[in-house]
Amino acid sequence: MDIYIALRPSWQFTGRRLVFLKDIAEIWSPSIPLSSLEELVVYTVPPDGEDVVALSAVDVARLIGRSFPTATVQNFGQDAVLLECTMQKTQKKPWQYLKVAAISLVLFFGASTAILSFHHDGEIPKVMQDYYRLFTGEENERPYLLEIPYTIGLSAGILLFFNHFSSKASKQDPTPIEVQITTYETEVNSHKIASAQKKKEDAS
Amino acid sequence: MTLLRDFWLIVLGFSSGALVAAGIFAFIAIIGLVPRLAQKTHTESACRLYESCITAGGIFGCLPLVFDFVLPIPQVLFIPIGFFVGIFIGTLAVSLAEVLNVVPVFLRRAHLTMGISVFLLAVALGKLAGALLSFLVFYFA
Repeated sequence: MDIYIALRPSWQFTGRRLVFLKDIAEIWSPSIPLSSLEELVVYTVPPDGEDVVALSAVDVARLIGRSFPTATVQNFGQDAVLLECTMQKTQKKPWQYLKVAAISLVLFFGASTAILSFHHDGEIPKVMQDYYRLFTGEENERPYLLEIPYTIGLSAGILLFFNHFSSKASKQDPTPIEVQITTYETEVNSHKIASAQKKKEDAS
Repeated sequence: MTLLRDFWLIVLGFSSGALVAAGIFAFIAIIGLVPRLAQKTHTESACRLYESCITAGGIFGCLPLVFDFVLPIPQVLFIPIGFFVGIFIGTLAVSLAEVLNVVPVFLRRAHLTMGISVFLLAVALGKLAGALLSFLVFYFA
């Protein structure tokens, strides 16, 4: 009697009391009917609501063992799964839009400041004048022939870097910040699991 | 001959721009500032919009190099713009310190396991003091 599971990294839910095995793991078994496994309750949220707990693979194996004592559980997924329970409903849309707008403005003016400060710090106008003198032997306060292509090149560089505005790009080739967000979430999740497990050890 | 020279100047300008963009925006992307802001506000789904804003802001910031233009906006708008730039630079500065693991290393060396929030507050107040000093005291020096 083998049961194969793959624990997910985390499971967030709202307004529910019971967490089923199918919520936290992919399951397959050649001998036990899947429906009976899927509906196995692995965690019950205490009445006061909000809670963050970590279930280790061993915890899950123990819970499965209660219902299927002779089964062998094989885990191919994470070592632990983080259960995050919030009682409140998701935030309201207008508020969400407001926040998106605020961050957009921060990033717009911030990126603009970053470029302006780089141009000052790196004395880009002087570099352009140097280039002009180097290649023409003439002085030119405003070498537009360099500055305009520079601006176009800069725009092209940013667009290329973020890989935007090409329709097929979205799925095949994620942008650097999308990758960063995934990395960040993974790190946050592993930190939460570690601190939830520490709390559990301190309590017991 | 001049045409050929101009062609190379254009190539030079374009390449400089493309590489500077890659450098600066790779820095902004890698520093973890956008993920932090997005995660804090639960707006990860707007990630692409955020990238577009960085792009637009970068291009906008490049325009004064070429054009001597004036954007007459009411002075009241300086307040939110200054505020937004402040948030950006503040998070950028702290992200930079975070990437270098300054606080964890410092805590480890000092054998401290508590007080992180106090230190972060101290860093924030220090930055506030620095900003006030630079604008109010050293500005005209």
